[in-house]
Amino acid sequence: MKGFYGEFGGQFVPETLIPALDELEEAFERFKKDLVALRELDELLRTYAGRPTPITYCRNFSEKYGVKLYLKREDLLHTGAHKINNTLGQAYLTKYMGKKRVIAETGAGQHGVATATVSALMGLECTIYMGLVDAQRQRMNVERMKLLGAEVVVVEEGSQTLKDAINSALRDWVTNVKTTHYLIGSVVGPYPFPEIVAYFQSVIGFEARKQCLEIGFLPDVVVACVGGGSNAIGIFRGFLEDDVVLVGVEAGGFGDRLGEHASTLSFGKLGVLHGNYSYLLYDDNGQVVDVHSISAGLDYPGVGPEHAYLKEAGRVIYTRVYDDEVLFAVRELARLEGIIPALESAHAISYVIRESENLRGKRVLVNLSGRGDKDLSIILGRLS
Amino acid sequence: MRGFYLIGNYPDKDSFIGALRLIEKYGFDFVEIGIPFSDPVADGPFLAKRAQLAIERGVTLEGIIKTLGTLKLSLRVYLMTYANIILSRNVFNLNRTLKDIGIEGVIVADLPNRMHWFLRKMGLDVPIVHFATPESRFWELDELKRVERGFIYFISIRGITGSSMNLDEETKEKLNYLKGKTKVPVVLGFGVKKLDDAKVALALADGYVVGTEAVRRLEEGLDSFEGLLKELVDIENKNY
Repeated sequence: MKGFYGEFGGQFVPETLIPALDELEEAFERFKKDLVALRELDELLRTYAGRPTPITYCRNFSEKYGVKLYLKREDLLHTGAHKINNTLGQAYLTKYMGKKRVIAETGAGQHGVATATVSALMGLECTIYMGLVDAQRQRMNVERMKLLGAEVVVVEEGSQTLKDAINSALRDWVTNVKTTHYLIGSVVGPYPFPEIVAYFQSVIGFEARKQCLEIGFLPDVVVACVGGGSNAIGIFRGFLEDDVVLVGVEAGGFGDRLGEHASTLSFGKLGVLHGNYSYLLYDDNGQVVDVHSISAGLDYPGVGPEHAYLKEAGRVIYTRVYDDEVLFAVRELARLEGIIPALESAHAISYVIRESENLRGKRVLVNLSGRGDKDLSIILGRLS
Repeated sequence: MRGFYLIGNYPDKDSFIGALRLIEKYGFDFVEIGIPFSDPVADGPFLAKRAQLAIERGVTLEGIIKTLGTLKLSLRVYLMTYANIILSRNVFNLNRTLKDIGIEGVIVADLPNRMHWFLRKMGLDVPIVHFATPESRFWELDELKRVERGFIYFISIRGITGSSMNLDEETKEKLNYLKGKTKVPVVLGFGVKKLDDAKVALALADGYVVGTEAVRRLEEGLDSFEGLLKELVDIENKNY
């Protein structure tokens, strides 16, 4: 079924948006066959974003934990996270469709900054929606977006986090659909968004696979954190056909009860939020619940439909780590390797530490999707 | 086809029932009963806030069904909600309950026409109302001639509930085109607040639904709500 991954996905949006989704799908199909456009995007990824990103072997960490840890260094990209891979691609699509304005949601602010950045580069008008709680805990990113010329709308409704930012962005889109492209930042939303974002992020996985083979191996295990799931799909897509174990790590928050975590694939039920049918955290009345994670980027009650499919198909193992374990992982990577990971990416590192007995001697590739500069105040506040 | 949107059991159960009785008394045709959802992306700030309040006050689908089961209404009753409210239930059982209490159909704000099959597959076979919008393409309007029952909900604006109605020429053309194609009434929703809007709706379409304004007036009390009904009835008697 078109628009679905197995039984997951679809287009659960107000009727008004359907023509825009069709238009977007057509533009995306044209773009994928347009060699000139593909070359231009490739050039931007190389000369502007900083691709290819290196693979770093973590000697000290590996010695201490007995795991051969390799990092795919998306944290070294311009703006500090993998998000720029997708925003460059979609900004290009926006121009392709003749639209002049983009809107986006942001949780940690990384997607907002990446969207504001490419909007400045390509001369697009840009509005970013961000929940009040996130705007407070990721203040620096709010200032960065403003400096880049974007309008930042702080959302004070609901849980005041990523979910509510997406609600507001969808309302803007329904109202301004003729002139505006909604530049979704993760593999969520209605089709074709999950596919578009996965396509632009899959550069991570295909590049990493090639680099590993150049070094002379394929990893035994590939690990990535999962909120909406874009960095995970990005790296997984490079290894789906290989005999490689894939692990997605969700935010365990501070406990296993509803409201204490954002572990959608561990505890969720099937439902619809923001345009797709997937796993979702909701209560007995069907109301989506507030979730918790120390990292704003994983603080989301839903998950991309392709992850739901990969879980059902048994291709990817999904698990979770708790906030405290994540903070420990941040400190370990900082002290052992001189790399401060984003709280999101530290979830993947944390998994490797926890499972180091089982992973002994194995080659493990972690998608280090972002750097931790933005999280400094949270990390310091919690570690002191 | 003139109707109102109310949030079920809101602002409280008695006012809600009182409002239904008034709508009946003044001879209107139908009512859309909103089941609140935590993430109502088609609703403006006013109704989104009320949905949140209603959830906090314990309004649930089951509670609303219970209220409706006790009433004998001559009105046609539609339920309006979002997909997750339906999908979070055993859809087969829910479907049977909706039939038992005589629900005319459901309006699902985040279920576009092309996704109706999904709820059908899950076991819903009460009618699902089709939408048309200012963005609809003519081939999509053509497809709506297949609709046999109920009405077509024409969302009059690009936007969310509670906005002002301001139909551009292209939208009027589409509305007119659609009316020439379908067998069922075309009802205008979104932005119908006052007499003038209702007049426009009755001139261009076959009916209207008043949403945000109805919820607002009922919050002020049953008197204010009755005032709204009177205004709309009077103007229609004078002009039509």
